Amino acid sequence: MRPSIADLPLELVQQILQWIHPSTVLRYSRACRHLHACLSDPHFALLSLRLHLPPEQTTSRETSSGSDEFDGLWVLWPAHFQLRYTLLPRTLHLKAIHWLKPAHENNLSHGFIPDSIGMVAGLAQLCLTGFNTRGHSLDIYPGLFELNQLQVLKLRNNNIAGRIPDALGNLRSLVHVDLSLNHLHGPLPAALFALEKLEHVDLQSNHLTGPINPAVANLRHLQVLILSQNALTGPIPAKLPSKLQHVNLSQNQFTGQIPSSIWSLASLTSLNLGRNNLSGIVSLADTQLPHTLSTLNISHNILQVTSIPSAPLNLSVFFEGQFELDGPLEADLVGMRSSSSSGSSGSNKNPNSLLHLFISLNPLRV
Amino acid sequence: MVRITSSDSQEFSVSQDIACQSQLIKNMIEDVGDADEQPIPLPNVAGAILQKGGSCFPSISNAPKLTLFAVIEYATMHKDDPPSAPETDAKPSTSEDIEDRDKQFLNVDQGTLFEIILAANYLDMKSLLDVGCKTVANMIKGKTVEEVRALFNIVNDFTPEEEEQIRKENEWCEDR
Repeated sequence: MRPSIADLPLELVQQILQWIHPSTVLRYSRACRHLHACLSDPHFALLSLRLHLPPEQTTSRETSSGSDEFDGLWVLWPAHFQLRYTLLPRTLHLKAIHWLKPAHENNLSHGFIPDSIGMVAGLAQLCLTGFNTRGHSLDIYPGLFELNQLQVLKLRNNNIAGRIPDALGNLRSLVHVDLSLNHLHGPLPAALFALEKLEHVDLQSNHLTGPINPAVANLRHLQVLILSQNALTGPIPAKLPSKLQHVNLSQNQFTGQIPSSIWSLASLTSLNLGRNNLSGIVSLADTQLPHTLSTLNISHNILQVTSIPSAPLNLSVFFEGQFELDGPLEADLVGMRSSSSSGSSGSNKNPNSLLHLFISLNPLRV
Repeated sequence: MVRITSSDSQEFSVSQDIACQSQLIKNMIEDVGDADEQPIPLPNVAGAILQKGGSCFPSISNAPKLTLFAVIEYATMHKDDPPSAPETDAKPSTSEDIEDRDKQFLNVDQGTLFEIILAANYLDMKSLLDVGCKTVANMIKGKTVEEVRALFNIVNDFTPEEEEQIRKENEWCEDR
């Protein structure tokens, strides 16, 4: 009978298989039980990485930018390879990970965040875009929520489903969170509003439901809040963080009035409340608008707009719906349009900086 | 000269620089002291006189056994090699790095190749072990699981469900 490789002792099979590149060798796991045991042994991962990792890639580095072959394998390998790789200086001391999905990677059996990511304790930025996670929830990446030094978490467009985990609250250092363009559903977790260092929150284009927690007011440093294209309901909180500059709550199902306090946000430059179910009377008189505001969209609601800001230079007004215009309001709008198209300097004493105003498809009344 | 006896009581006399390519024999000589006095027994290595490439190797069920013949031939071939450099990170080695004379030497049937690997492992001859393992790895490289099973006569002892589970886990590396 011919001898078989499967009759060799484990350590010899490992010494043979170590010469096959770690990007392909694991396919032989299903050859037979003996080979499976050899390849699943943590020691094999050590042998394989030691042999194949070029020496210049064993030193410590701060950033992983995604073109690196072994970083690409990091997310594909099974846990014992991932762990060995994570413990290498090149990985363990990373401060930032910025990966775009490599075009040729379509099969992600192990998700897109390495299980052992939690060991990269100093990681400050984790930015992964364009991976297909097959609709897994973030819950399957517990290591992610151990990164208490993480300041920037951008997981844009990765086909992530499920809820936003409460464990997000463990990431006490978060300044910037972007989970946009995924399939997240369920409510905004209370834990999100306890992350006091947050400056930038972007959750647009998901399926999030429920109201905005009034605790949003606690986010003292928040400058950007983008929750557009979800299915959020309830009123817009009366108290919003005072440093907000850019707010986009459009394309949701918010109801109630626009809280007048929103106009006292002293740094507000852009406010989009379009395509909701907001109602009530709104006055856009000059004195009400923050002087910093350059773009305002309240279109596609059921608001009654009683006054329009006087026409500043270069203001463009967007209204394409059917209007019942009468009296001075019509004159205002015509005046704004002529101002916009002529570009004449005129005698503009208006202190506001509004450049774009979207008010179409609201009933207009004086 | 060093006298070595195999498990089947065959005695070989080889010069010390050849014998000491085996770390095992080298250590034994150092332990025993004067190597001339008594032969060094190698109970795991059979001394059957066999032609390399022949078909009459003992079944691997008797492993680890191998004639010293082939191994001594290899050691003789390499007796003037410079001592292997201490492990440095200078350059990653690949399985393609095989000297032509070693390729020639290892151009044998599978059974012989595995016996050589077993003996090199037992005798602690790192360079022979490496070159033997590289040779087998090169036979595997680029092949599908099915091709490797056929090549090495590997019996698939998984249930279909188990195999499918493992195949799924490693799907990412099947087509690389």
